[in-house]
Amino acid sequence: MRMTDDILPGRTLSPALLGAHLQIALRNILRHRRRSLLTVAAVAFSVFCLIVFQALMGGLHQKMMESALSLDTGVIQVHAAGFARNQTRLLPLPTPKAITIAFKAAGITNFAPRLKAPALIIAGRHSSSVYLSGIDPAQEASVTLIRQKIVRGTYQLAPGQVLISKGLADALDLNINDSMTLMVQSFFGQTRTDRFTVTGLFATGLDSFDQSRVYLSLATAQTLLDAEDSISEVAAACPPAQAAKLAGHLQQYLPTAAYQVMTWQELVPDLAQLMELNDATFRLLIIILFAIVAMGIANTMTTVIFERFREFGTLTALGATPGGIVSLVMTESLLLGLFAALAGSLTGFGACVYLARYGIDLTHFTSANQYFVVGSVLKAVLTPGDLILANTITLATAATAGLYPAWKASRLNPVKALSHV
Amino acid sequence: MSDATKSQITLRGVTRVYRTNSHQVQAVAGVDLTMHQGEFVCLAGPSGSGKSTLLHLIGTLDQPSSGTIHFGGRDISGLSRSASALFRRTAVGFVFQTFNLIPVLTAFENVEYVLLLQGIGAAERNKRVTMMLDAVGLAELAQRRITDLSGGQQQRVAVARALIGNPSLVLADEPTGNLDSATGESIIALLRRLNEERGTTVLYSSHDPRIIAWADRLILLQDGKIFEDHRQTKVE
Repeated sequence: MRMTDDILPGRTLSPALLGAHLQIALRNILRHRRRSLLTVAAVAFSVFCLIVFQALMGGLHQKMMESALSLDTGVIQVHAAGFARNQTRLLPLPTPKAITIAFKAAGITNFAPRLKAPALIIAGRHSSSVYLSGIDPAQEASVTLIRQKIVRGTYQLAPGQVLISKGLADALDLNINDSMTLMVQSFFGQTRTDRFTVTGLFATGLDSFDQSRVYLSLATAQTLLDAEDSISEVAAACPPAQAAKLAGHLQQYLPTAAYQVMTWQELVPDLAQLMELNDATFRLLIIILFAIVAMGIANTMTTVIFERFREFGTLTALGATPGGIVSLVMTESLLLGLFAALAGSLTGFGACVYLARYGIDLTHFTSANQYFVVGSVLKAVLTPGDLILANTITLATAATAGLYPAWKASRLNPVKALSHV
Repeated sequence: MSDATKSQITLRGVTRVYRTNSHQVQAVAGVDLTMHQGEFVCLAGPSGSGKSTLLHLIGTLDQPSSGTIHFGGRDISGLSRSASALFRRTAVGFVFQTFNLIPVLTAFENVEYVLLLQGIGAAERNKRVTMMLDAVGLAELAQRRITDLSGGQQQRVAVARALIGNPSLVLADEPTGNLDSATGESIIALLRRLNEERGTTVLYSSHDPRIIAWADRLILLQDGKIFEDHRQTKVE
């Protein structure tokens, strides 16, 4: 009669046996302090990098959105149906009051009506093509940062007054209280000109924006363009993550036949694409970083197996099954990963707290662009999800890295293992 | 009833050949052997005669190239890794020349590990390990790390570990080979005593005449074959 597996008892790994393996693994890690410390330090550094980079990436995305969206776009915009970016034709919204009601119903309190049109600014013998924005200064301030970017004069826009950028003023040789002429095509297709006084200068730091914007009050713009009570756009500020949800709410009140509700992802698709590209690049970096981590742990565990051939042979002789040997090696690998995850998380969290407060000043590393209009100090934004992800990846890497050495140990020839010197 | 079923261990035509790139070595060559429960048997012979290989084959650490090995009437010569591990866990205890204890564990924990493998509860484990360490004279040193024990004390722990699971067979490969003569004799005396008290079959290898003399039965190996197998008579 051949003895088979089914007549033999005790195949499973009891909790007490797993506890003993945990104890053996822990003591072995402590026994080889220097090696364990080096392995844990290397993995912990990777966890630290992952957490900090992730938080800085979060901060970068937040700053990019904050800057790009608070410059002019806002998070949500409503236009008349048929609107297309960069079109020159004035396309007024059908019933502006309906939009106000819709915004209030959707719980959006920060929104700004605008009347936009292309124009020519003429100052003496200089002229320049610009984009005219008729705004309600108070409401505009709740959506964009133009008020904060005033560098000379005031943000007030009385009838006959305009805000232009300092860059444009320099190019046109204009200063505060100087007069200039705006030429536009009215709503009815007629050319209109009028004289205005420069009441304030702004500077966002983004030349392409600064050179092309002229702000005047909504009422003044309506008069200039022969568009009484008309607006061409409403921009709203709200958390970017809620854009799609809130846009959905608005669409319930604003029929698509007459209105076009657009989120920031549709308005500035290059920003969403850039963030997606950042995320993809970061994921690639994570894979490379943790492939190195996995190799580090696998190397340590392979050394551990080599040094303890005889011990694994002995355990096999005592009746440890291949599964039992795997559990012992995996426990040690996971413990290394756990210690590294704890150390990396603590130091990473500390660094993120510091970077969230003081940030990194990128003034000398970046040129002026639309993503750093708010400021060039990059601050860390760490979420609980980032910490959980970093620790999950670390433990999964430790487990994966331990698999091969564990499998090798479980397949050792016990006779050779017992005679290993 | 066949000879294979009434005896504890039966080997029939067991051969173990090791192959290398250039040649092959026959470590065990057609061995026929029968052992009964409670025997105290010594395998003797020069180095390379096949003593260790035969112990490994009987203990299922290795498998014969040909022939069969029966244990308690069951064929154990072709078990899978897991099945042979489970067989050793319950039926066989090992004592090695170099002790082979787990260095990070205490004496108590080393002995206890076998009972953990067997799934014995904590209270029963404590009771049995304490009694076993007492039986080998190490009750006072139970909580010492292995590295803090002398060679003789370590081998006593190994003997306790080999017997704690109540195996019906203990295989000891040169159990006194790394010990001075007095300590070596104390270890073989301990094995002998436990063999008499528990009825455990003990098969050990040695080439030390003083240690060989303790056996009831002597099997002499040469070139992988048994050329002498006889009962020893003690001359007082």
